[in-house]
Amino acid sequence: MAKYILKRFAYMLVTLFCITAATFFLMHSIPGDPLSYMAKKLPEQTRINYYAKYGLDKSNVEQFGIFLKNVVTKGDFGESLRYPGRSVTDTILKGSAVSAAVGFQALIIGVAIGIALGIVAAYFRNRWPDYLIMFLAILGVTIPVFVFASVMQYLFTVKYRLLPTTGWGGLREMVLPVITLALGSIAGYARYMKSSVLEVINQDYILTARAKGVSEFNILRRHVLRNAFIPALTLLGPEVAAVFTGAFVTEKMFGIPGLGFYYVSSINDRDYTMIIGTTVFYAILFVVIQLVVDILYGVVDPRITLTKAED
Amino acid sequence: MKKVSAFMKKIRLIAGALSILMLVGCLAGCGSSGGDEQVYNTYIVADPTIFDSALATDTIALNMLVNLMEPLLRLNEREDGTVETLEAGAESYTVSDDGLTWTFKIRDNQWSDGVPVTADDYAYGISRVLDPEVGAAYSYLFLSIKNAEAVNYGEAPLEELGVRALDEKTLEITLEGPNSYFMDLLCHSAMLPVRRDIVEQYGDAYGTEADKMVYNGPFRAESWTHNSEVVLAKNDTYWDSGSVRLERINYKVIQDENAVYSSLENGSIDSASTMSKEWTDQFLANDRLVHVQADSASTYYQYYNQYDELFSNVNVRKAFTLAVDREDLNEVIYDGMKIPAYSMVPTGVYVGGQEYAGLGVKPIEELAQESADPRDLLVQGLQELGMDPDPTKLTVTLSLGGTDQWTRTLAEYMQQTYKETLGVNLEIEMLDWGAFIDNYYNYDYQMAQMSFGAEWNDPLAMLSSAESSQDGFCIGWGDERLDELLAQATATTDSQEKIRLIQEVEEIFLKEAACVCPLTFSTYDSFTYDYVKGVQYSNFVTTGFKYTYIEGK
Repeated sequence: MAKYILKRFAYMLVTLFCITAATFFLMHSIPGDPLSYMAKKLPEQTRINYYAKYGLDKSNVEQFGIFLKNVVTKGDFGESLRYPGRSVTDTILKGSAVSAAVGFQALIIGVAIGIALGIVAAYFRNRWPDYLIMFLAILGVTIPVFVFASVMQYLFTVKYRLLPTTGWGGLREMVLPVITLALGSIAGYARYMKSSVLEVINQDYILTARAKGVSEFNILRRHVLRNAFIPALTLLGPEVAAVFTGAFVTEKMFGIPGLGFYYVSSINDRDYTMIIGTTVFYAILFVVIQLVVDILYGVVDPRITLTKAED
Repeated sequence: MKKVSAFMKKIRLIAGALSILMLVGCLAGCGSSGGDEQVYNTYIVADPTIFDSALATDTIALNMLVNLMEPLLRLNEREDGTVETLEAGAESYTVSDDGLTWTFKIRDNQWSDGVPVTADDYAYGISRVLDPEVGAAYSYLFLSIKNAEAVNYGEAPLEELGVRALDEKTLEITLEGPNSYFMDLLCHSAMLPVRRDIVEQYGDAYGTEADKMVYNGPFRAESWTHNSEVVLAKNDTYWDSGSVRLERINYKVIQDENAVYSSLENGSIDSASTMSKEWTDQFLANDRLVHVQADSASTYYQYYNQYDELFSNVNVRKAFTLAVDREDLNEVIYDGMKIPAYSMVPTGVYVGGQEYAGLGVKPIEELAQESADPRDLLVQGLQELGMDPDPTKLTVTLSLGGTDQWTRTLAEYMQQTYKETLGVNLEIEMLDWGAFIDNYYNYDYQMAQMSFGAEWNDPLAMLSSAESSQDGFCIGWGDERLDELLAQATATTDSQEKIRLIQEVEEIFLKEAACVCPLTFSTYDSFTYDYVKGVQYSNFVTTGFKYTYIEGK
């Protein structure tokens, strides 16, 4: 197991290096620069001074070297170009903490309700609870987030003034964004769970368990849930990563100072340090969570052994 | 009968309770009238980039800075809407007869940490913008200061810059040559004072957080939660704090348009601006909202790359300029919310106290009257170029800096317009902003459209870029006559003379050479609850919220 994790860790480093290098050189190859937003032909010297200050006058390879050195030795992703003086590392840590606070609540609610609905739909297959749940799930998947969020915002903050429209800090500010974010998870997991529960309950071992007289509840708990959850776990991994990187639309609509904003704005602003910082952050989260998920497979289903190939 | 009376009793009880409630409400209300809570709630569409006046380039930070810092002079809107200059950080000032030496007597004022404000704070603030190591993007605005270019190019030490503190309270600024708009430049936020010791203490982090700087304006930043909220509180150490009535200003960061309008509707913000007809109509129906249509002092225009063979011909440029119906464009694309533009200097830009656009000089209209049919002009131009004179065989590329639905609608409108009026096939190139600007700098386009806003209150802010050594419009054109006129207009102190010179510049630039094609002047619709008083709308005023207050909320 330790050997496996060590090996995976080495692969992770290689993956991260490749992602970082690719992003770094790709972003420098897009036309435009951080001064584009001035929308003005600046004197050449202004550009020269600006480039010199941020080290953009050096060759891309040299800049990449400096960047890697700072990241590895100091964990420093540099200073934002759009927001001068602000540390990229700081911005990412603060932003992701905010995103995670909203995202985890939404994910927990979404997964719990989604799974429950999925099971109900599977057990009542082709009867009205199934139709109702699947109808709602399809609505949940197809209604764009901004439409749902706008409706919620109008209903609960303009028509009935129960909640604040935007803002951050208190519990009341979190209600609408959490519901908005949870909607997608509920719909997704309900559909996903339904199909995997259906697959499991038609398996021979369920028939065997029934024949042996195991109660329906125990069948559900010990056999169906465990087996049906494995596909859902695959889905869950990237979603946990996404919780930290934030949801652009929802955060924008409810004024949540999360990280999602920077994933879009940094590219539009050609904020190179922020682009590479946010990308590497997502890459790290993703590979780490992939590893965790792989390990968790073994916990959920003891038949899956990670080191089988080597043994 | 008994039942009814019980019911009536209940009603009476409710009515009684209600009237008591109303009385209490009135008492509370009456008690606070005249003593309204002096809190103004507003919004910003993005986080300010930084409060360092040398590095801030976004309008949000620049507009907020006039509340936080005390400029030498402030532009104030009079009750009749005209703009006056008020002494602010400078108690008084004198200009030498040759117009080259400006001497300011600095007023007794204190920073928010109690340290007295000195002339050196102003000198340091201005010199930072030109210090090559600071890398300020706005350095180009102040190249008229003596030795500014040499200093910014690293060819002369910072000490040689024409900005000096003669003593604690006297600031002297020397110019390279007479400059008729230097007074307006002085009101730019990049000219604000900065404390040397605080910058040295925080280094690059100066101005990135509310507590990483000091303030000498009407307000100080109390808290700044990035991307969420900025809270300003009245600055008690400010010299004129007696004139400041607001105790707090809350700026919520709201990026989403719908969220902005919902917030205005439910009263969580006190004002909002919109450029959309739908929202304007909705808010006009609310009689507690005061509506003002204000100028953005910005022109949306089309321009032609004269390094391109086709657009090197003036008749072709004239044809393309005249083929657009600006009234129709305004109606179809902007729901009539903008102002059709027949000159380059937008509404809201003043010269000598007169709004230039209000003078009614419309070079494009004159061009239309004097010219043949646009299609004939185009055919003539094509013949002069030795190209196929059939416009229907001509394909031209229009570049636009946007990829959204609105830009697509505009593109389709332009396609249809040119097809109908000139018979020309228009191809559209929609690029993201960075790529669009990159092509613009490199003359890698045929014709394109964008907005150009005046950065200070003078027609030259719009036109000085046409000077041939700069070619700030990136059109590959220059004319010695125009350079001479621009130089004269910059130097003259006589505003009538200046207006005449500007008209001549526009005559050459727009009518004779048809280099750029103005389309619309931008405006926005502002809605503010009637309990907010003392709001100023002119684009260039720098009083911020100094004179704003709440009454009758």
